Amino acid sequence: MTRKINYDIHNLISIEILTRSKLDLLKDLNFFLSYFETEDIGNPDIELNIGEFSPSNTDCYIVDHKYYIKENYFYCSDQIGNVKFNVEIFGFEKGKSVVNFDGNVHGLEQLLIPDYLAQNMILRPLIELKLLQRGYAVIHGLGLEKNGKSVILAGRGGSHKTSIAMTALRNNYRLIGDDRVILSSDGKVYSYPFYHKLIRFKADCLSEEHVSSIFDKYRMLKYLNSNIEDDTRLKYFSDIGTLSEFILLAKSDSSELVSRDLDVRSTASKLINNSKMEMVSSGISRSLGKINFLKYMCAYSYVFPDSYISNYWLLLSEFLMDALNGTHLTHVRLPMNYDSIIFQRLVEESW
Amino acid sequence: MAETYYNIHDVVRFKIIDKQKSLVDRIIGDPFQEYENYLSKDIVEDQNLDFVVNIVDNIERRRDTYILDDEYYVNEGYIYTSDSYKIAKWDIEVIESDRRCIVNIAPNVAAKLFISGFFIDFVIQYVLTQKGYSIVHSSAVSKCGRSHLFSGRGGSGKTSIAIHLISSDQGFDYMGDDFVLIKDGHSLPYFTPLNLFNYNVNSFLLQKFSRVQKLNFKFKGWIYRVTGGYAKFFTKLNPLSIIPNVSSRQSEVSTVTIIIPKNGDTEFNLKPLSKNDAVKHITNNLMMDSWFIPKYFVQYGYMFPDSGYSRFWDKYHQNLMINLPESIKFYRVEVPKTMRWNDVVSNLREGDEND
Repeated sequence: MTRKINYDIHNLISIEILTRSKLDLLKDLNFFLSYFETEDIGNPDIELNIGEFSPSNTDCYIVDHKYYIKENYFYCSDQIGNVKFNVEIFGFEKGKSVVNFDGNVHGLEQLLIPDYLAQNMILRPLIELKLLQRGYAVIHGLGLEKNGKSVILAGRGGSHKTSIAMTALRNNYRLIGDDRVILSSDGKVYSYPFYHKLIRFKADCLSEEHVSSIFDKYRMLKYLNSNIEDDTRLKYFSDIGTLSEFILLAKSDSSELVSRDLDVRSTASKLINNSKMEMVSSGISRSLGKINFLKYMCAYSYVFPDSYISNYWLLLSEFLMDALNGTHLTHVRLPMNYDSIIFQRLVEESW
Repeated sequence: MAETYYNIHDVVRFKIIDKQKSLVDRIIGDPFQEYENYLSKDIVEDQNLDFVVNIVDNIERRRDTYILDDEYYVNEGYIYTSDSYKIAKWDIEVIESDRRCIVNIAPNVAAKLFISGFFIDFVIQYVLTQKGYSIVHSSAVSKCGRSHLFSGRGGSGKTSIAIHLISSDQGFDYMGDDFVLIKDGHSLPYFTPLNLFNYNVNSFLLQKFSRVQKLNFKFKGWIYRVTGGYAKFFTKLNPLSIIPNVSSRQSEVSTVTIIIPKNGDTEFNLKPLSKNDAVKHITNNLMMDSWFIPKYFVQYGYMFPDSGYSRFWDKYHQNLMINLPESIKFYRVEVPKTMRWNDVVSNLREGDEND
């Protein structure tokens, strides 16, 4: 028996996931794009099939004994930590994409989030490649909205983005995205939240960011598996905003907050490095978060040096320089520990 | 404590200080065997060294850094992180000081085995690039002062082609099977140990093995099979001790051939390549060759996008454009997986003569 899940991201890209997994106790984490869940769509832009498959990797160039590549096609059998998987991508760089993924996490995670890996390792980065072709860039950062105006706070992991988001939700701001937003070339920001029920749970039920006690974990499970009314969706999330300020965050050992202006060129390079790292490690835990997508792109670029994938980072850089031109860009050094003063200085003062 | 100096063609000078007291080195062998042909007897003063590697038991990180992903600690000219790959684990610190690079590494036993391939190789590549040299991932042979480079990724057969050419009695000399240095159209050999595995050893080489070397070689093939491909140990042999016809001089680069193997029903296909495309191939090739320090450089680039670390690949690409003159012929060749190396080599020579 297969399950079918459909996503439609702002009419920009549609996705269909077919999986043979029967049980996922943490559905919101397993299908972390569930914010965009929709009715059956006829012809999706990306089709992700999770389960056993037999690859069509003949007539391929072979790189490092491992990567099988032909035009618009990629296959490899890979291993990260104790996770082994096979992945095949048709339409790697143009046209409709079909992804076949076969691989399991072990133990408890297999019961909780059996389909997570395929989406985090392959689907998430693939969506980013496809969106740039349509004229939209995915930014790794927090997006906040109030009165139609929005601010993006980008940063590597641990730079207090989640804490800022939680403070913002309690102060009548809405989220455009907790970890990702979609930026258009004309300075509009579109929502791209992951784990949206988890965020609502934290905002509704917890006083701090972390789900720590057993009691909280039980409440979380109950909350994630309940049907939440749509009014909290409107209360906490906004689908579009106009970009007014772009802030790059970096946590530091120091105890004070220091900010300086950035030019558009170094902002673009910082964001490129940020996005590259997100294709190396990103996810809900360190062990599940290691991904090799950057290596796959590199292997494909090696065989096809003139391809879209080979030029992706250059194109993204040009796009960002264009889209961010004219926006106020700042770099902020943050102290080690989060304090709501950070929120006041960064967010409240911008509005 | 062991302190060793190395000098590669008077271009890169470095020192490795091993402060770890490890019995494993004695059992498994010298972790720095990779650079044995560039051991220097002279003590080089610190200000003339390009980099220093310290192998230590632990590293105390600086306390005035940016913290990225709660894992990477960076500041201008400074990177510290803890990382792992399979069972290898290490702490590493890269410090730029006084135009010299200091790399402190605290590896576990497994990481120490791979210390040259994981870290030091890339630091050498970084220094060469900063000095305007190009290091190309390729094998090379030379004849009459002209060299031919065969660049490819793992499994492309670059070692096999070089070995076939030098054992074919046609006057080719060995110039390296992994890396070649290039400056202003001239190639310099960089003799690292031959990394031998079942697929790239021919009878010419096998008959040069000693009995112990043969046994060791077979044993590693067996380990690979029983661990289901998890543990892959190459047999490392110094080419200078087993190959009779070696060229140590510099020579003019004549051809650069990019080799890409292909499966399925394909034919041998050799075609000329533009310099631009060849340079992209060579750059992507090196990008795939090292993983860890380049990854740290990406992370560093989030904080310092205009630094030398962050701009490394631009500089590498730029050097190739300068160091490979228009007079070089570039080829791309698709080799069927099933083709025998004798046939590959004779096809390559035919192609070159027709051109």
